[in-house]
Amino acid sequence: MATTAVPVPHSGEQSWWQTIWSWVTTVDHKKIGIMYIITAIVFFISGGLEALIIRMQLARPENNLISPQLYNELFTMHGTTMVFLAVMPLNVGLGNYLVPLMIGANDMAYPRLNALSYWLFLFGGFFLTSSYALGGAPDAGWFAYAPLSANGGVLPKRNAMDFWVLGINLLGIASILGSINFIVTVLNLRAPGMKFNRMPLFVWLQLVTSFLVVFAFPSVTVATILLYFDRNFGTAFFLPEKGGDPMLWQHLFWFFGHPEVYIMILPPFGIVSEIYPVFSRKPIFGYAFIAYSGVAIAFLGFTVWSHHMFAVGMGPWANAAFSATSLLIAVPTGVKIFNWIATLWGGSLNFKTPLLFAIGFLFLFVIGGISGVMLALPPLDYQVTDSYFVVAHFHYVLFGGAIFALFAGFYYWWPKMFGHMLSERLGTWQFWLMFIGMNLTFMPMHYLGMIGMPRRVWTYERGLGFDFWNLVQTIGAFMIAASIAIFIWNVIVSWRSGEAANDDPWDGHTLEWGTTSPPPAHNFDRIPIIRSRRPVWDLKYGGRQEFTEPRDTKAAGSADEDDTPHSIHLPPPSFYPIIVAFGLTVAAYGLLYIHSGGVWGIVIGLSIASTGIAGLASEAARD
Amino acid sequence: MPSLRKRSYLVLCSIVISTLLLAACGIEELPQSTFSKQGYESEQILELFWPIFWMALAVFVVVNGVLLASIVRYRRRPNDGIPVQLHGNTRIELAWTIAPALIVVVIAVLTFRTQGVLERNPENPLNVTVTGHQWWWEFEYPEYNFVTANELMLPLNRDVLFTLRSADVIHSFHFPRLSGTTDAIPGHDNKVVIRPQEVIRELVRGHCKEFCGGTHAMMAMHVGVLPPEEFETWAELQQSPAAVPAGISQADASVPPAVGATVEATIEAVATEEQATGDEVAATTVATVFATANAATTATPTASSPEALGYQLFQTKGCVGCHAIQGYPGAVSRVGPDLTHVASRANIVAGWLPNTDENMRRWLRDPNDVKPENVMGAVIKRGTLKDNEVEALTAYLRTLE
Repeated sequence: MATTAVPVPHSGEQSWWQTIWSWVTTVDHKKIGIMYIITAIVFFISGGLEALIIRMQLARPENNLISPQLYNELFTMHGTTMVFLAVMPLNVGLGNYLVPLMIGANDMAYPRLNALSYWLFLFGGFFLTSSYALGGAPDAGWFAYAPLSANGGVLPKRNAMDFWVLGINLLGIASILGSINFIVTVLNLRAPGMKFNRMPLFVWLQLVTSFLVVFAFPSVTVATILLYFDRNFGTAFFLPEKGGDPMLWQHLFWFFGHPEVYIMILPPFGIVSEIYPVFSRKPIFGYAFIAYSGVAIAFLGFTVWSHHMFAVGMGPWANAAFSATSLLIAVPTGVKIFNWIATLWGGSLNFKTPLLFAIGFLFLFVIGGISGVMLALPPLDYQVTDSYFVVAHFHYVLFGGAIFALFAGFYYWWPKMFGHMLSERLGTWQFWLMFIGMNLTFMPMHYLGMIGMPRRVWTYERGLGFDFWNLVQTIGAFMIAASIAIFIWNVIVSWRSGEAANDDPWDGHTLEWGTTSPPPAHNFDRIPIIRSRRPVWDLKYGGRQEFTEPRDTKAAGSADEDDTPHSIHLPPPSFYPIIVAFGLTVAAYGLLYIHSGGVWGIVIGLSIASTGIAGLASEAARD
Repeated sequence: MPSLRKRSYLVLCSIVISTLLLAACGIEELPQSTFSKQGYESEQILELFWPIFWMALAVFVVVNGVLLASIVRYRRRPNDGIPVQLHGNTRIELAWTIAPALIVVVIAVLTFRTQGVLERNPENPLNVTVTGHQWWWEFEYPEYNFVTANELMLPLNRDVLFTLRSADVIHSFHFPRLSGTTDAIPGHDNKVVIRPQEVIRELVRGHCKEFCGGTHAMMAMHVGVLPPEEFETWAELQQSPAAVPAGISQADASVPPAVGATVEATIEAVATEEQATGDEVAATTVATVFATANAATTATPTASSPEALGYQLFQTKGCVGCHAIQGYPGAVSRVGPDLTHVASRANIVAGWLPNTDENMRRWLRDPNDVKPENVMGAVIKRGTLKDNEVEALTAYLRTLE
């Protein structure tokens, strides 16, 4: 392959601080993707530990292991962490790593913006978690219903929910910037011949998700800012005794909150849509149906928010309308499921860990989908809303669905990212432990919900029929924890002595398998002309082999005048994204302590951030 | 050995099925079970639940069955070639777009029908106003003009129109055995109609469904259903003022004592300010109790019986600051549960403890030990009430039948 004149230092010559510096200042989408994934796994583990403590408290009736206050903090942080700091950034991390590779680009459209998104996510996560040390974590639930989140009722005033409000906004900025970046990248940087209907489905669903983020996050941003005003400046947007309305919060929150569900689950749909074809050696069945049903789900996702609010007294007509739209969404989702099964049907199924997890995903997601339809029916919802039935439902969707698919993705793309295979034996152990543990933990919750166990309860009374299954669930939760420990062990083993991966260990279809494992900084020396949805499959089995010119410089989005054929323009590393993110985080702490001198924090933070932004702007001029 | 394998499958299946049967038997007897037909509403919902459940089970079996079949059947074998490269089939895909759409339409029709049945206008309803508090329930029967807490009695086969309110944050009112959930939202008056259709003498349980902070977990309530005549008798009892223990002179019992008077004045003053929230009233009242209760204890109560001593302590210790007792001078505050007929209730502490002397003593000795972080625990700590005072108050509260 052709050598390249890329101004990227080789890692072998670096001292440790140079290595750290190179990661801190990197604008390479692959490094940023890896940082996203590692950070998100750390948060995933912390969210998991919160869940374990919750399960330990609930193992026995009338248990006193932790206080109700701590319990409320833990379940609030468990939800917030898993949604904003684990599942979303895991999706973004995989997308970051893979989208440019899959469309044959050599980076994201805005590499430094990409770095800024990551640092904001990291600092936002740190900001939220620091609440544990600074007076107690948020305790009004990840849904933060006012007036509880605004004034706490009879509870003493704390600034815990300000942590939540400001943390969500830092993370929201990161998500919106990241999504704009994805949209521009996919729209503009596709390789020659890659039309929309040849894009990998993973890219399709990342694109749809990005639009969802851009349209959904403003709603929660507005809601949280109003809440911040209610909490700190004496306004009453959500306080009825002064003329506000708690319902306003619920509508604003769920107008974000329901699309958020699809923000979390559509990229995993994309992951499994890549895995089924490769491991059955067939093209995906009904490509167009899967792509368009993703778009349909995204649109419908904005019309169903009030099905979270059937019990608030909107009246039968509103409930029926939102029930109907929610039922409608079952159709495109069902179509996807049938297409996936049809992809497996008639294939030659290679049962490696990625496929195991992907099939686990499908099996469990079907259950979550069915219970979702039941919850979409107002009369049934009246009986089980805010009960453990709901907890069962969304864990089947988000744990059985998103997390299983994400692990499928890790096992699938790990060799590409790190050049080492993960152990199949450990992976199989992890899968079965996780699958059984998952069902032990969440299946009984359906039953508990039906016999009236409310959710978000610190403890429960003896004699209500809850005791036995709660103990079973706790055992199941520890099985899940063990399965995650096996994964970590697998990573360590792979890191130290993993079998080296070749460039295409799974007989892949899409472009990322057409470069080295791990790929060079510029991704591709040359890429094939895209003639179908499976360019790498075509290379191997299709006969015709035509390549583009060695990396055209225009793809990098620069006006580089260098016309030597092997020169590839890559943006230089930049220190400014982390400065901007740091400044905004300092400003957030300033807002947190607004009544005790926090103004100075805001001034200093915004000064730092402005300096960073000015730096970014001047870099662009020199670039 | 296929036969052994077959046998172990059978054993496994029978274990699973018997477990499910065990779990299912008595399921409708559980105190918070939704599988009950004791209310017209819960019965209607259950009648929708079963067909939906069987459809859901069928979809699960078919879809995941086909998935498992494809796994078994198309497992890669050593000399597999490249399978047929099938990209799709528009006809099949249209078919399986339309099929779920049809199922969904059937479900929607069933659902809307049930919704129509549930949304009915009550006939000659009994009115009950429910107010959710952190973390207990207040029930007012406006037609009978009395207030009670955490326990409801309803007449058999009569529509009950509940008006749901909240004094602080959002709560949610749910007796699974009678009807579905409806939120109690501050600033909104939600209405629910429930028609109990079975006599319930052994009270069944309900719980706050919406997370309301603190000890949301311990915000239960109970409901009983009586034949109309018995309900009237019960309501008459609840209307009557509380008994005054022997040894308390009628003159003492008619003059609001110092603390009671102060509390009454405070509540009026705070409540008339338009801006005051329920919580601000509570906070101010509790502060007043603090200020006056300790001053009042200088006049050591002297009484002949524990009940009479308890009666006096009820005001000198500041209980009147939060709890109302009809007929007790000055005890009009609605910050805490109304205690007029507390002895007639089956449970105390928002449905958490059976109403026994021992539990009452435990509660009075250290409320935080029973229910952490509750409002009463902000005033009454371990040691605030001496043992003999706990004893006397328990004895007095026992007389409030």
